[in-house]
Amino acid sequence: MSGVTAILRRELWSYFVTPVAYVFMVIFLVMAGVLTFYSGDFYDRGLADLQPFFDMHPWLYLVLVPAVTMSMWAEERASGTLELLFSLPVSISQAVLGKFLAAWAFIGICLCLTFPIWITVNYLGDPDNGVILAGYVGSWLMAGAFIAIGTCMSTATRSQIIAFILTAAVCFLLLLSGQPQVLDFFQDAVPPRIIGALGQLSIARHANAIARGVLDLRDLVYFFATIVAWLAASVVVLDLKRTR
Amino acid sequence: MSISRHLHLSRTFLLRLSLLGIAVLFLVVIAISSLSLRTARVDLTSDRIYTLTPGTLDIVDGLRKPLTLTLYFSDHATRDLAQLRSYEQRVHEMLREIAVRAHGRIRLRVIDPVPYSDDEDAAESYGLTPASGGSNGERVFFGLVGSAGPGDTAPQAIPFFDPAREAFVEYDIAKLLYELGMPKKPRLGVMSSLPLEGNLVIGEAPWTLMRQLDQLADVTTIDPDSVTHIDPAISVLLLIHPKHLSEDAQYAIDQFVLRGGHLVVFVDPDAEMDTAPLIDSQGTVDDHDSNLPRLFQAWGVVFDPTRVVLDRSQALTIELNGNSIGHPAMLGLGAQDLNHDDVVTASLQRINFSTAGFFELAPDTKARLIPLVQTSDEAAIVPAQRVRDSASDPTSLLENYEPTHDRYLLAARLRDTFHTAFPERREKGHLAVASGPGEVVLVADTDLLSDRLWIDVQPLLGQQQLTPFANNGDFVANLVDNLGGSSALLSIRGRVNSQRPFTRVKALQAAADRKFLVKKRELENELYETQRRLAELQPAKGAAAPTTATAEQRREVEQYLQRKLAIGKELREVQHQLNAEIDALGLRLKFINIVLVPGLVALLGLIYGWRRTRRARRVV
Repeated sequence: MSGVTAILRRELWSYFVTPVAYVFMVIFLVMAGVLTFYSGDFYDRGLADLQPFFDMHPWLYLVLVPAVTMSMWAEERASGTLELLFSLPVSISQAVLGKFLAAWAFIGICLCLTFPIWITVNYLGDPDNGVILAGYVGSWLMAGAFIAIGTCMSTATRSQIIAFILTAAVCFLLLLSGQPQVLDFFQDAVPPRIIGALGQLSIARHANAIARGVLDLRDLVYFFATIVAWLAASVVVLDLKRTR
Repeated sequence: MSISRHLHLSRTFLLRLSLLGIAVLFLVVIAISSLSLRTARVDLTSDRIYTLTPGTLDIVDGLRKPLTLTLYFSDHATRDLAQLRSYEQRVHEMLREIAVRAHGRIRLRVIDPVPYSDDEDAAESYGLTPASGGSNGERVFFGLVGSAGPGDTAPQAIPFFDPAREAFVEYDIAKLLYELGMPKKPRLGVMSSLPLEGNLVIGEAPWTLMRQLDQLADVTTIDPDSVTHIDPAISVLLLIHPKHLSEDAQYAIDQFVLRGGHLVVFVDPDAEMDTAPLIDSQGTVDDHDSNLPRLFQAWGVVFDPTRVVLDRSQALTIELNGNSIGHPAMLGLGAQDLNHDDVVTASLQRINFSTAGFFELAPDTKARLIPLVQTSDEAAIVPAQRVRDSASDPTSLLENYEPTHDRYLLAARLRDTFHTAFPERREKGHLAVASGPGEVVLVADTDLLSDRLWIDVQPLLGQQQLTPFANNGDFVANLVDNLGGSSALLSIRGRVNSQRPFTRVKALQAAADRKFLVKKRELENELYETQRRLAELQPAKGAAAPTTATAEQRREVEQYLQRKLAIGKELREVQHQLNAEIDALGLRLKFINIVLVPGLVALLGLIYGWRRTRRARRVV
C-alpha cells in the first residue's frame, strides 16, 4: 500500500509543479460556471438547486478528463521511463492505482473549488443541501469512471493524442448509451431487455440517479465495478506490453 | 527457444483472455447488482422525498395481482418548463420506487404522447386532462393510468399531476393502487334523522349527496331508532343529525369507534332540513338541534347545540324579498379557511355552511383536534334562538356584532386512543378502550349536506342538470374516500413541497413591485391633478368660447400631453431600474463564479510559478 501512496503523492505533486494543473483548473472552473449560468439557465430558472450545474458535468469531463489522463502512461511509454518504473519496488497494479488516485484526487480538488456555486445557491434560496452533497458525490464518481477509462486508453498507446481521442470516444459512447434519444432509436430493432441492459451501462444515468439525492447501492456498485474493471484492464494491457 | 516462445505466446494469450474475463465479469456484476440489490439506498434529501412512507409500502406489499402503471408525460412539449420537469422527475422516481418494491407485480411504462399520435388518443380516452402552455403551444399531458388485467377493474387515472398538490402525490398514487388492488367498494353506513333518501310518495328526490355516495361506496342505511350493533363490515359510518338517540344506539356507535371503525358525525344547533314538527303530538318541544353529549364527553369534545357561529366576513349573499343581503349565519368558507395540509380539504375551494355550531376540546383531555374547516377571526357566537328569530331579517344579526377574534372549528379530525362512554356495560365483546389511536371526524353542521347549499339543479332537455357551486359534495366524498380506503392510506400524510425557489430573488422582485406601484400611484396622482387643472380651464358647456381662454387652454393641454408622455417614460425607467437590481445580482454572481475564483486560481499558479523560477535561478 505504501507503494500506492508514494506514487499517489508523487503524481499529485507533479500536477501542481507545472502550469498545466492551473490551466486545467481555470478552464474547468470557467467552463463549469459558463455552462451552468448560460446553457443551464441557472439564474433565470429561479430554482434553488444545482441541477443545471451537475447536468453539465458529463460533457465537461468528456473533454477535460482525457486531457488529464492522456499523458498518464502514454508519455511514460513514449519517453521510455516505463521500464524505469517497472524496475522500482512497486507492482504494476500499485503504480496504476497510485496514478489513478492522484488524478481522481486532482479532479476532486477541482470540484471542491466550485464551492462558490454552492454558496451562491444557499445565498439565493434554501436548497436541499443533502441533494447537493449527493450531486457532488455522483459527479466525483463519474469523474473516477472517466479517469479509469482514460488510464486504460493511455496504457494502450504511445500517442497522447490517440489516448485522448480513444478516451473521449469510449466515454462518449458510455454517456450516449443511456440517452433516451439513443434508446428510442434502437427501440424497434432491439429487444426491450437489451435496451434496458444498455441503459444500465450508461454513466450519466447512474450519476443522475445519485444527483437526485439518493445514494443507491446499485449506482455505487456500477461506479466501483467500472473503475475496478478499467483499472484491471490497464494492468493487463501494461503486462501485455511488457511481455512483448 | 521453442519452449520459451510457446510460454511467451500462452502468456500473451492468457493476458488477452483475462481482458475478456474482466469485461464479462464487469457485465455480470452490473447485471446482478441491477437485479438483486434493489432496496439498499440512502435518501439524502432533507424531507426524505424519495423514501416511501410505511402506509404506501403496506399497500404495495398487499397487492395480489399484477398491475400496469402508465405515466403519460409530454417530454417534448415541456422543454422550457423547468419546474414541471423537476416535478415529473420526482413523480417518476416515486413510481419507479413503487415498481421496484412490488417485485414484478407492478409494471411501469412511460409514454410521451406526441400530438396527433395514438398515444395521445389513448391518454385522452383514459380521462387524462392536458394542460395548455407547452412549447409551441402544445398540450402538456402529465397523468397516470393504472390498469389491472383485461376484464378486471376498470382503469383508474390521475388526470394531471398538479404541482400545487405535490404534497399529496404519494397519497394520490397509493390511493390509485389501493383502488386497483381492492376493487370492492368500501361499505358505508348512513345513520340519519334527516330525509336524505327523499320521499317517493310526495315526489321528493333523494339528496344529490346520497346519489353521489351510492356511486362511491356500498351504502347501507341504518335505522337510528332500532340499531343495537353496527355491522363490523362497515368501514365508515356517517352519523347525520343524531337526535334522541337511544342508549343502545349510542353504545353501538361507541363500540364501533373503539373497534377501529371510522366515524363521521354531523351535528347541528339548527338543522334547517329537519322535518320533525317543532312541537310533537306529545307536546315535546323540539328545536331541530342535535348533539352526541355522552360520547362527546367521553372523547373530550365540547359542543354546545344552543350556540351558532356567525362570520360577517364570510357571509353568503342571499336573495330575500328581492334584496341581496349578506347572511352572517350562512358561511361561504374559502380556501383560506380550509386546511391545506389535510388531504381531504387541500384541493377544495369553498364549502358552504348554514347555522353551524363549533367544537372545542375539553380542558382535561389528551385528544387532539386537527382543523379541517374553520371560520375567519371575524366570527362571533350567538344563541341559536336569536338566529331562528331573525329568519325574516338576517341583517339584524349584525346589530351589536362583536367579533371574538377567535377562529372556530366547524369541522375537524379528532385523534385519540378512545375510551368507552359506557364503562358500566358488560356485554360480551365489550371494549373499554380502543387498541390503538383512532380518529373521528366531527362536522358542526348538517345543512351543508343539502342540495341548496352546494348544487344548482336546472332542467335541461328533460333531464336535471346538476351544477355544483361549492365543494360540499367533494368534501363528504373525500372524507368517505379517505376514511374508507385503509388505515395504511390514512397514514400517508402530505409531504413538504420539494421545489425551492430563489427566495432572495423573489423578495427583490416583490420589493421592486411594491416600489413600482408606489411610484406609479404618485405619477398617476400627478397626472390626475394635471388633468383636473385642464378640466377647470375648460369653458362651461354652452358658454361662448372666449379666444383668450383658448390660448391658455392650448398651452395647458400641451403641458398635459408632455407630462403624460414624460410620466410614461418615467414609469418605464422605474420598471427598468427595479429589474436592473435583479439583473445586477445575477451579474455579480456570474462574475464571482466564472471570473473571480478561476482568476484567483490562475493568480496562485502564477505566483507559485514565479517563485519556483526565482528559486531555480538562485540555485543556478
